[in-house]
Amino acid sequence: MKKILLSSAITASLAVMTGCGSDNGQNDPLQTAAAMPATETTPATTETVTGEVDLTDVSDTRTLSVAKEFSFDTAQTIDIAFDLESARNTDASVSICTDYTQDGDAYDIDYESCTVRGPMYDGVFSHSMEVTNEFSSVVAVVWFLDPTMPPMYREFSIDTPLASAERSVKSVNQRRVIAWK
Amino acid sequence: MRKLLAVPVLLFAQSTWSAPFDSCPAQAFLTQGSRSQTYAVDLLTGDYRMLAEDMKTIKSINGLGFNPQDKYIYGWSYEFGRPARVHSDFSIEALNVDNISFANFYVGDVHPTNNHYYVYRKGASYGLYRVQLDETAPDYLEMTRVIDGASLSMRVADMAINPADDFGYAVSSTGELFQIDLETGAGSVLSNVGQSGGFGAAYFDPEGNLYIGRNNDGSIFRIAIGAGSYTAELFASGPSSNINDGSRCATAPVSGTTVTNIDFGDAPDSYGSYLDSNGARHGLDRDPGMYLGSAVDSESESSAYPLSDDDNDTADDEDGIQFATSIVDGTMAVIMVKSSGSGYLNGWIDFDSDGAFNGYDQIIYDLPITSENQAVYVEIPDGAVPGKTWSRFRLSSQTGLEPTGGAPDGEVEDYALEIQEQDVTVNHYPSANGWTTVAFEDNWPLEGDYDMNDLVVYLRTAVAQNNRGVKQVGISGEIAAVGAAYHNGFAVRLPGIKYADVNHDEVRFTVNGQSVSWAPMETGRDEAILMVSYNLWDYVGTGEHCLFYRTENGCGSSIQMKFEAQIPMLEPVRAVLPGVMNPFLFATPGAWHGGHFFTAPGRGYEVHLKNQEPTEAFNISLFDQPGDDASDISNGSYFQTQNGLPWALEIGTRWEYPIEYHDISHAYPLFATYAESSGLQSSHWYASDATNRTFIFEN
Repeated sequence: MKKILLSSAITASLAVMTGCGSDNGQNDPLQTAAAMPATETTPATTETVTGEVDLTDVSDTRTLSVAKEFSFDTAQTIDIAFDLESARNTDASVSICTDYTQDGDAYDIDYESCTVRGPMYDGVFSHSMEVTNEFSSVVAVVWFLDPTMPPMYREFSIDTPLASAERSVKSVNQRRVIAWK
Repeated sequence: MRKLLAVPVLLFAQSTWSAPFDSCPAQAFLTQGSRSQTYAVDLLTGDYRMLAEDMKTIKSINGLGFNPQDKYIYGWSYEFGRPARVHSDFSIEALNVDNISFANFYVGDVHPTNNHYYVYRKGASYGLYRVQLDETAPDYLEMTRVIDGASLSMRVADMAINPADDFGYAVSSTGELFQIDLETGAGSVLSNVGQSGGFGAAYFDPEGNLYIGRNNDGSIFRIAIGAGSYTAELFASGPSSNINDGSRCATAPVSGTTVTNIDFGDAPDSYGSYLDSNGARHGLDRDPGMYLGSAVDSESESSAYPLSDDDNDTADDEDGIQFATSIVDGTMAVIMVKSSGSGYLNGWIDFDSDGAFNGYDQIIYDLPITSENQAVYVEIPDGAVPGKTWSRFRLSSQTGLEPTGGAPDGEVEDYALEIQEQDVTVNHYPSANGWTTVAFEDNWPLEGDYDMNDLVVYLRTAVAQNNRGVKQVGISGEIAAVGAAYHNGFAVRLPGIKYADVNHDEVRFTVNGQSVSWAPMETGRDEAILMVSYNLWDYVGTGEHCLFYRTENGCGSSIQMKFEAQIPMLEPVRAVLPGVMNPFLFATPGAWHGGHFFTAPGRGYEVHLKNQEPTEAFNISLFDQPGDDASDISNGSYFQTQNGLPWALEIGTRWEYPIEYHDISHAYPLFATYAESSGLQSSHWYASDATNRTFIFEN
């Protein structure tokens, strides 16, 4: 496998010819030593810290053809529409989380995985949130501020999102809605 | 007579120097970071404590050694390019030594008995040198070469001198144990110690035991050279960094009377965390099975914030308490409590953010707790101050615990939290404690090597809003990697938020727990832009033998730059903020950014996620530069090639990025399918079971 050692003496020319990027180890002639990493600027004949590049690992990513409008979005926006008759007369708090397991009628939830937390008034909670693509479901918990009332749980499935052109409110008609009545 | 540098501009400005250390301490000193800080490390336990947070040097000091003769530490100052003396207050005094090597050193130690400072650098033009430290000697502060660095050729990150036999010892990154005759410079490999990595800190004790600290994970190994054993034995776990150097009075014994089987809290010490502050602490011997959550770690001292061991090692034992609802003043809140067994729980929240747990801060009083997962309702008082604060929870068989002081059993867990205003909903992205990743190539408008690690940032955001709009934006992050020689800054634009919307007097921005010297929100702009750093190399370093920060095999370390911002608004603002906001890389002003630019492009150079609009500071003319960029601003198309490829990506997890020079498609074979299907296929391309780990950076 062909490899090449890059030394500080030749990296400058490589960068100009191939546009390999600033991760070719070259020293910056305009920077003061205070701004540079600990690697010393030394005469080319002396030992320098070097890196190895495997030239057979030509970037395959360059050969890809990707739609211009595809922005590599990693999350989807989900609208939340809760309207609970049973919560009309008691203030409550809503938490929606992504990491959980079902435990009988209840859920064992990692509350550090919550994506939104907020107050529910008169049984209504209307909001939106972003959920990253790795999650296909979320659980919502309604905690009543009256300790005598047990919490309510509801799990929602989130379909794998379609290819999205934009990550913005302009695509509101493409957004998922989780509704709880 | 001591010789001092006569050129004031080179001296650390100090008219009088502090005294030497008053004894030969048993603790080891560990100096870390591109802006050196020094810790005391207990070699028995690995427990560490900050001694000098700011050594007032703009570069690192390395190759350190403790001189038992005069009780100073000596090291190589990268700021002055010559040896320096470190005083007991950790101030650095450059010495008038003629640097005949014309190079800096990171391998060094002071001989325990002959009053010489030894430094080493590999290479024919360098080698092993010694500097006379005896003020009465005719060659005082003269640097002489013992042997050249080709005849003595070692790829090592530190060495230590054995007081038992007067040899120098060093361990290479592949585990070779070198023995060096300091008189002749002759070196030989004794054995392989059975461990690999960058061993940037090395120490000896009087019995001839060599201790080496590994940079990437802080593991401390002991090699019983005095007993004729050359195998590295894991001895303790200490702090990690990719720029490490150790010094120690080699004639002082390591063993002591350290008690280690205790659990301490991790909140800032104003809350009572350290032993000297009568910190909250629980003995672990009486009932080893009683603790919060699923684990408790034993220690001999607190690792108070920002040094919490839960951030720096792999065992986070703060796992027994979760906040199921927001903490809102004047309402009830629900706290989930998990326990390994039965006991009594007491809890406090610092409601007025005065840095102490006062009587009125107590929320839980001797609450019986079982091993079930319990929901505990607590009252949050009216007038609780919105913003960041701390909480403490103590489980024990003993009732009536105060927020400080000892307890015979159980555990203490401290949590940072944020008190919210009423009527506020908080959106967390990607979640309350999760991370997303933004990864950049920095050679725009030219394509790079697509290793997507020129800059890697872990981010999370929290947007608090009521029915009138956004009230506060919180942004936290970690600089995970800089695989680039260019000097770049990092910033986050808040879409839809104006500079004039922000309550600048109340903006809180810290880097590594410290306030910064620059205005966090970029001035002179219409937009609200958080300037995280103008030059990331000010905070991260490459480490010994490495070109970049955390992108090359064997060049791991802990995260060296963490930041946190709370940005409140004067009035609620109608804005829709995407979870990751608009993060971008920009060129450090005045810094060269490749031969593509005749002059440094400076702040006007930005790299954004694909199709994210640049800020008002962006130099629009750069879109007309020749290169690979195919932005079409009339169509809202930005920062992509003709083939639609990006210069930046967001990945919705704490991403494991490729090692240096390796294409993302090689590390993640499903990435190509994902990209070319516009996300319809392989949307989980970054899942751990879909990687080729050969090309993934391992810390």
